[in-house]
Amino acid sequence: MTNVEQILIEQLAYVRAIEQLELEAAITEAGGDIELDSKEGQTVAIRVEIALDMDGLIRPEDQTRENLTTLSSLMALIESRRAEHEEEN
Amino acid sequence: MADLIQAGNASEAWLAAMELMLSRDGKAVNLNVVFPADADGHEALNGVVDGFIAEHDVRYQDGNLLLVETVANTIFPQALYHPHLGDQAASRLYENYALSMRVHRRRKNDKETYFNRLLAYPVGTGAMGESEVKLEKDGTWNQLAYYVERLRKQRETLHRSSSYELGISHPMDAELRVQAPFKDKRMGSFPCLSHISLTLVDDRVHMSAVYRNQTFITRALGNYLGLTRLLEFIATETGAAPGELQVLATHADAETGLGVVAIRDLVKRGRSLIDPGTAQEAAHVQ
Repeated sequence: MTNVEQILIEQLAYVRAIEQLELEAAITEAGGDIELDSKEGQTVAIRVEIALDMDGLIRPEDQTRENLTTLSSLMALIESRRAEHEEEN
Repeated sequence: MADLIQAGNASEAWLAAMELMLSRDGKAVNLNVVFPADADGHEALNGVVDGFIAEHDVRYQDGNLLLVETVANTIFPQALYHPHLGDQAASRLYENYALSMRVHRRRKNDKETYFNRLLAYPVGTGAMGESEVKLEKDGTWNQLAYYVERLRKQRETLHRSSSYELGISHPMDAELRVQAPFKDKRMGSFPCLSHISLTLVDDRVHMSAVYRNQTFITRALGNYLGLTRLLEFIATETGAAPGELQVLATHADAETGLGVVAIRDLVKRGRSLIDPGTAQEAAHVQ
């Protein structure tokens, strides 16, 4: 599990108010990916951004249903933006 | 002339309102819709409306489709509320929603939501005097937290009082404001939902919401769903039961501009989901 994936799952568990193990089991049962509510996606995204200390990681154009409503797409977005952020700094 | 629609749930209310408007010119003034908040609607109807929205590519300014759940989320973010947290449930909701708004506000347009107006109403600074109301540093006020707490305390006080035991009804109320004078100055722009009134009577909390303009294809069903969820939240947090939801559209629009034939078909398909007998009859007439 990558650093971003670990943080993302921790934050999603907090936002869903469930234990991390319970969430991981649900992800496994669902075949490795789960759907997110769009507001949940926004909340998890900003919480990961804070945890990574990368203000502004999520851009205005990133806020589409496609990016925010599955765990895998949100993770791909954050990984991609983090790589860009690290290159710029 | 005003109209009153009383229905068994949100889905039936929406359909009846649409049928009423389509029997006229597609619009209404002072359209008053009432239904019990604790009655389950017909989820399949949301799918039918979403299908129409997708087919006609009706989108927010940010490019996202105006789906029923998306509209409902602007009034109450159901996914962020977890009643099993007990005393912490509301504060967790407020904390996470405030964080989500930091991302939401980065959009070029659509920087505000109805639920945010309930949690961060722009009062300004220095206006509250010696009031018990406490503003945030940015001059906003969490009016929802204030009224939930006030209603809960009032309800608990009445539970202890002899008047409550004698069964005397003590209506208590709260006013949640969405429209902000001086800030919301653009015609035809946010917010269409102006005001929400809450009334607690005999351990049931009732809600009345006023829209200055309500579009029925792109908003109303999601509005009903979001308001129902907001009322359920308020009832849970005050220890009461959800009562009746009344939604007054001072101007209602069936949005026939999207295609009157397609909209009539949408409503007919919705009716067939809720009341198959009626649909069969309609099909037979055709």
